[in-house]
Amino acid sequence: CSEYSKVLKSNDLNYKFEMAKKYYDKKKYNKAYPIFDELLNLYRGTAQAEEVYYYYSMTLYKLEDYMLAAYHFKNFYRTFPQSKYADEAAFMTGYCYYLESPVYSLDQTYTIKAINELQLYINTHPKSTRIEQCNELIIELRQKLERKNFERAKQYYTTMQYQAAIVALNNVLNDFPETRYREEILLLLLRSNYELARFSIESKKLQRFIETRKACEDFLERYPDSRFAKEASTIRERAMFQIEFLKENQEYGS
Amino acid sequence: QSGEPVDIIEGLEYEIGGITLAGAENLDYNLVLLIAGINVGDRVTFPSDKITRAIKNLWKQKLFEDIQIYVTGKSGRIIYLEIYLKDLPRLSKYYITGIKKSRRDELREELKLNRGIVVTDNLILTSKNKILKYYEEKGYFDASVEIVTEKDTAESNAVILGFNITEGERIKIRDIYLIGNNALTDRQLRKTMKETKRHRSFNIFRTSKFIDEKFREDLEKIIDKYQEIGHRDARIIKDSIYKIPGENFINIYIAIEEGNKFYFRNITWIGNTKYPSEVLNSVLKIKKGDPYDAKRLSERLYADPNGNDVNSLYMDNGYLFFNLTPVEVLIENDSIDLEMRIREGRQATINRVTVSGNERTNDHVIMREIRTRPGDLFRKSDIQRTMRELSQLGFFDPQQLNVNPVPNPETGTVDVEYTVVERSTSQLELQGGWGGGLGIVGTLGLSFNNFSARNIFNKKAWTPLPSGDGQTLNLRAQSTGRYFQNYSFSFTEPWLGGKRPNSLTISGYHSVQNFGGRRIGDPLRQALNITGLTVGLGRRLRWPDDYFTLYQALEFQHYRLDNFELGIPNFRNGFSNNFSYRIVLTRNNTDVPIFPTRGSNTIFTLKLTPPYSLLSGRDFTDATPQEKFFLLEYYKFKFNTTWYTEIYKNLVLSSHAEMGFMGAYNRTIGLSPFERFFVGGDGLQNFVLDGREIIGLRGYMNNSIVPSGVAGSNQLGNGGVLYSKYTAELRFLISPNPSAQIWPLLFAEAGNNFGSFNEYRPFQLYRSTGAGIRIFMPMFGLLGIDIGYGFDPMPGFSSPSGWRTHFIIGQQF
Repeated sequence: CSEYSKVLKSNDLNYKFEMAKKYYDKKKYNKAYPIFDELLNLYRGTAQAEEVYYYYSMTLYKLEDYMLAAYHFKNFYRTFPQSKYADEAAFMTGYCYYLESPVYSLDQTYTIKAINELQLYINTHPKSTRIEQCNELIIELRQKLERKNFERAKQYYTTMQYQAAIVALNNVLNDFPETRYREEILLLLLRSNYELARFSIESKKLQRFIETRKACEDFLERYPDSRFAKEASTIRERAMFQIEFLKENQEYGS
Repeated sequence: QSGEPVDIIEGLEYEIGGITLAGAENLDYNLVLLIAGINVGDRVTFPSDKITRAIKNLWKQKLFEDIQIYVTGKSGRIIYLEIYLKDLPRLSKYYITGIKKSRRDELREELKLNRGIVVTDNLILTSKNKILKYYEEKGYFDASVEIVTEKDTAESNAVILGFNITEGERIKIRDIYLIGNNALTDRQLRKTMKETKRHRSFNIFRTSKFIDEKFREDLEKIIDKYQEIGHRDARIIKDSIYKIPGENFINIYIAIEEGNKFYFRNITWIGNTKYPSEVLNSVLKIKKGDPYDAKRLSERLYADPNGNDVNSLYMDNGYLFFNLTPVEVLIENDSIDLEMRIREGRQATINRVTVSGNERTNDHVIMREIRTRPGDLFRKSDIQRTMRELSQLGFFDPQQLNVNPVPNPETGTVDVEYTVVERSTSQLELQGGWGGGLGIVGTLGLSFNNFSARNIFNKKAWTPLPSGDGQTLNLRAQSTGRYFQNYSFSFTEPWLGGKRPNSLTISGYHSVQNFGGRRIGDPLRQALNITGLTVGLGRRLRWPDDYFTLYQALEFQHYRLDNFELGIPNFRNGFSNNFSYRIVLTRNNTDVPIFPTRGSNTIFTLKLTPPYSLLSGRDFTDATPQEKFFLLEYYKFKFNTTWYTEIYKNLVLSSHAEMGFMGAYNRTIGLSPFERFFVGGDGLQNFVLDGREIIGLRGYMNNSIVPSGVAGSNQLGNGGVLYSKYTAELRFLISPNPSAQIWPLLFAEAGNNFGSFNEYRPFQLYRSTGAGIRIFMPMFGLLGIDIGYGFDPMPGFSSPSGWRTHFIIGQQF
């Protein structure tokens, strides 16, 4: 430890830098960090600045401060676009945001940032060996967003807010045309339509049962062998019965 | 420029054959090229974007005083460049002279000059302005700054800045002269000027500094004041400031042109199809003949604080694209005719509802509270209610809650985006104090308000606690060694099953009170053990309105007496089981939980046990107390209501009334000695655990108001079965800061406690009054102290109760 305080007190910048790198290589990131931090200011505008900054950013990454690391990696490849580390830094920006991205049910600001940064990397480094990894990460992140939207829409169904469920589920289908949840969404849509129709005021019933029937048909057309196909056809039959009944009543009325 | 002039032909492409660096002392060659983005071998055509960009890139570093790139030589199509850079000096240190230390420290805060920053002309200028502004705000108008730049010889290219300040004298206002005002008096206008006041030696609290910026604002206020009373063209013709020679005082002269007073005449509505003009007029509340007040008009149209304006009327019905422009169509003498031009637009429905900023709380916990749902008509009132309810969750900083409706006129829809900022929701309670004859009481309490039970076994979720599902977990342990111990826990899931807001609460406790011998079997041992378990289900009701909640619980308590005196005749040893059903109906429409300013909270409670004796038909005439109390039987009801009225901003009157009654099914068994009421004192439930119900009454000793009428007879069997209590409390929130809300209070209370229904005398009350203070901090909960004076003698005493001090922990009154 006495060696460490000697390094901290030293005025020899080169010595400090060498020692900081040594600590970094020995994975003593907590020790390396304050030195790099200090050197960053002292080396500003000099030849070593680039390397110090790279180490500084990497140390932050190793210390799992991904948010700050991402910021500095980004700053790094903007400041030193021709550096030998620029490619890595550009990737690390996105990757740090990826690591910072939380579970789907929390705020997804970093997920979106990660997608943007990784996509930027793919666009600017088309020949990189990391492209495949980037694509995998982006898919994972997009699936997170997809799940978030789906779960939110599904919650409206769970809490019996059927009209809200219909709007929100349709939004998921529009936003994520290739969604993994299509079968479940179509099922929830037909159920929501049916529940909404059943408890509607008389004047809206007919229209809503017609929509229910359509939702059932959409489901059956796409998933005729689904294990919910039976439920869908049952609801369709009930809706059709209601439609006929309501139409007769209407004619009667008029 | 060295060498001979070089002819460059525009439009011709050259190759850079070499780049040299000049001027900069310790800059790295490669780094400069890296920043500039030019390299040997690059091809350039003049005029060159590349060179311009290189200069720009170098400027962006903010490290140089001067940057030039020029061509130094040419051979054929190869050119040689030189980059000339002049470093800016860095700040090594700075000093301030001419003023006292406290001001120096304040100025250092203002200036924020760090060692190593690059010293530019701009930096010097802004620093100077900061200093002058600092002094201006303090009323020093003659202050001057002299800035000295010295080269620091200890470091290369570093400078020392010196700020020599001459403060001058502070200027105060002697008098404010107003000219041309007839409709408003001098006094009224001076009162309007909030920040510009005359110097009056008798009023030491009033500052009479002159701050130009504030003075300008005050002039605006004068105009506003005139407009309020119908002088819509009022203006300040001239304002002058004269320094009184030889003194540090100024006089202010303000010349006003009031203009004519105008009145509203005819108001016509155009374009309204949804609401007839009469309805709009009744919302507007402006009559023909009212003074023309543009501010009031705009408030009535767009910005009523209670949301009763014309705009809100439409906004609450989905008319998000609603647009209203009042136009003065005719001005005749002193009367103005207004035409309200309305474009209603179509009704907007909500499309997407999103939340962001929830770094801890899961979506579903927030989404289930949000009342703006996809497919609904857009309503402003839904948004307001959602905001209120989100803040009541207690998980987010109420000040930073935000909502942003993004309308999409093409589709007639609107996306609603909520933004939340998480705040700490866990409370730690560590307390030590004196408890009813038991010595020092130590408590460790933990409450986690945004708990996630399903993540208990997920290691990653412990950051520091599994959170985000909106559940509550409370753990408490309280002990005074072997004399008294209490352990309790409770867990609440507010949305059981996630379908509806039906809450499930499970709680349990175990307490031991022990005097004398330590071990079971020791003849000296006197102990009371109580074990309790409660399972409760709560639900929000939609009828009669949705402020109602219903709570039902099954509760079980087991008492074990071991040579223990509870004040029940012939019952010192034995068991008692209290198995009861409780139903609580609550209506709570208060605006915020901690310091409510509006609304009321009413609670009706019924608690009952099965009528065992009636079911079994057993004759209890000769039964022993153990037989009578083996299964307790009673029924009990309580009514509790509190109303909050905001008298003035942050000044709230809370009016409270409560009463309770307990009865027996079987006359032979009689009233249960358990579950009785004890009135008096701070009302803290913690210290006495023997199955009694404690009701606070400040100004009297804890548990002192009991019907038996004997001093110190506050044992279990002596409690009352019918009580009532009334409180009026005036609270003033002096610190609305959510991290520490503080309010002092004044109270007046009255209450009494009776042994039977027949003894009940509604106007025979123990009265008290007093004052106190409360502080609420999210980490510690509510803490407070009250000093109350009891006017009446406590039962068993002959002189008035007098002054009593109460310490409050948690919400009691």
